[in-house]
Amino acid sequence: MSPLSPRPAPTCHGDATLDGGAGTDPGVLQVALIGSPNAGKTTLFNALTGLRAKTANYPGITVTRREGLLELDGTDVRLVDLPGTYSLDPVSPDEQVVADALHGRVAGIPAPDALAMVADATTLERSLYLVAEVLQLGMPTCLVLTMVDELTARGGALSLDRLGDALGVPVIGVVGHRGIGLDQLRQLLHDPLAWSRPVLAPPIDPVERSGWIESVLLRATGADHLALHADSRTRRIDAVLLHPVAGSLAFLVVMLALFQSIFTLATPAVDWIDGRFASLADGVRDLLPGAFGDLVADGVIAGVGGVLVFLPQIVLLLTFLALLEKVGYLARAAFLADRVMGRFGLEGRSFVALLSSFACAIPGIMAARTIPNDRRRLATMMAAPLMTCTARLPVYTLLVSAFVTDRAVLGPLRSQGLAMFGLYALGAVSGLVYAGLLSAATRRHGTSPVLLEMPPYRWPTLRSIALQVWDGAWSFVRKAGTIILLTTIVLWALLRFPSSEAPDGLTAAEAASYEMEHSVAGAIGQGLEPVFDPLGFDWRANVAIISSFAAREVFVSTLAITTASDSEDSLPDRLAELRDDSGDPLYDGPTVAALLIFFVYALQCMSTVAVLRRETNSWRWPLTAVGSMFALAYVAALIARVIAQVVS
Amino acid sequence: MGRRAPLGDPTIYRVRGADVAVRRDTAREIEVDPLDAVGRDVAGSAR
Repeated sequence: MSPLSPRPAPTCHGDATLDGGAGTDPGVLQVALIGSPNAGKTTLFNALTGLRAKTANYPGITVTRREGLLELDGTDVRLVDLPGTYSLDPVSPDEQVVADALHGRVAGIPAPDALAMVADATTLERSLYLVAEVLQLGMPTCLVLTMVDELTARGGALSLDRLGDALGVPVIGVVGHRGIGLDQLRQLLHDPLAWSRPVLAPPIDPVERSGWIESVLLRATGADHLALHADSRTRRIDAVLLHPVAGSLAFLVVMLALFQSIFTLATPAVDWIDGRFASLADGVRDLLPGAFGDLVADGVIAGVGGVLVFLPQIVLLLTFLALLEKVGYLARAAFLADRVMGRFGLEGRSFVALLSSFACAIPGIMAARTIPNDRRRLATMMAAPLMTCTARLPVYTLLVSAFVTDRAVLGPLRSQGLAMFGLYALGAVSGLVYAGLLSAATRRHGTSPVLLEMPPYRWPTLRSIALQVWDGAWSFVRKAGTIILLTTIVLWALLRFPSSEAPDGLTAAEAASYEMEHSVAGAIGQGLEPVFDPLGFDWRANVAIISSFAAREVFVSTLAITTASDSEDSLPDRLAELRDDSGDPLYDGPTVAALLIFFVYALQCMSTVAVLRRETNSWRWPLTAVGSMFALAYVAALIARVIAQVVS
Repeated sequence: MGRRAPLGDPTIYRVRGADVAVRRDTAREIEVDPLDAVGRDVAGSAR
């Protein structure tokens, strides 16, 4: 069970409601797919259920539960895709979930009526240990052997009938991504309660069980082990991709391609969506003048746009990750990066997620789905917002270009470039340390070993990738999107109301500043002045920080309004002009240093908070992230200001 | 024992036909027992 959440209480069967939207119907037979990671279980599940599948989390934890309804000649069967497991003697939270689900110990979710055990035919010998444990449960069970085409291609010979006789349960061979054997499997799933059962359960004693496995193999194959040719393709590719030099270079190229795809390939689509929604908002404003028009334009349309604008990045990242995972490279990438990430309580797969976070924390957090261990997955997700995302760039650019004098430092290195690099490095190092501390703090709840199975390299099908991408993208729109939309409307209302008339004689910029100063957000910004005074922030900066919850880059445009700057371009000059009551510069070097450091750490991005809520299935962790990162931001900004004051 | 990661850890081991990477500190905790009792060709136990 997850070390981070309480174990769900046992419950009676039949009153099933699944946290997160999916549910179970009393009276519908439930068949669970069980198997080890990489056995092809999810491919089989997708092939059987397609877009009818629903994804949710198990109650109170971050382990994903997928289920779909199969309509089989008038009979409905609910298929549940359990997390991959090597054993029913759990060593990880995911495996604990499988054990609990099989025994009906997950709150609100009944135990399955039957099990479809999925095993890779090419590693049958190893899979038979789990088969033995599953048969020990005494539930109606069938064995679905995947990759039977690969078994034949590698010279393996196996009689499914004799294997079925030896096990005492129905056995079917399938090739999930090509649809081979699926009709036969559907027929079998039609009536699970009629499946044959073993006369005697497999032995429990490990040595006796080894003997049982050999006897099963002997009967099914004529030998006590599967004599397969080596997977020469995988070995040849691994000779390059896992080579200390060539493999490391290939890793860097793949990661760079992934990073660039999120950073640059998505940009045209992001700009297009942004532009369309801006035009739509302008059109609505012209059509519906007044507060209602503003609500539709700046609240609803901006909110929907604020959700959809992330989709290009998310779809690209999910496509890239699905491709890497299904081809078999993701496990290799994790293997290569594991040592470095392990020092911070993370694992190799965390590298991919954190790298993605430099483009945007949202795809980064979603990339953490590939991490099987939930403690390391959580630490990765919590560290993701500290990586310098693209939304911070406009803020950094404004403040660095305005207050760091551009001069040569060493060769081609210039002071402004070094300042930007320093901010990136500070975010990355802080994120890793933060993950390490969080990981250490949760270690007392138990940990599980890092086991990375290297699957053979395989060509994925377009359908399997498309289904995985659709699943992730749709869950983002459905869950996180609602929170983002609502928060956008609330922020709009804070900045818009109460509507106040600016005095005559003010310029347009001064009038806009006046209206914002007298809004609810303005009042909050002024109320927060005593809190932020040690950092040097006045109400103008405070309001801009509040508005940046919509998106960090909004800080710049809001600061331009609150400071009555004519445009964003003239903002640096305007900031330099502003004086406090005693005539001292309001935004001097130490204050700007504090603002920069504040932006390195503070989690003022509602979209990130919404996705953290979605992915952790709880408000506990997003609120922890907001609180701890705000405290970190405040203290670090204060230290930066004091140091800057001393230095200057 | 198979391949080692460029930075020395983890290491890929072949276990019953599957390649599994395990960190050094995890590998230290794994005890390998001989299965001679059921006729396996195993040289001996190791920690």
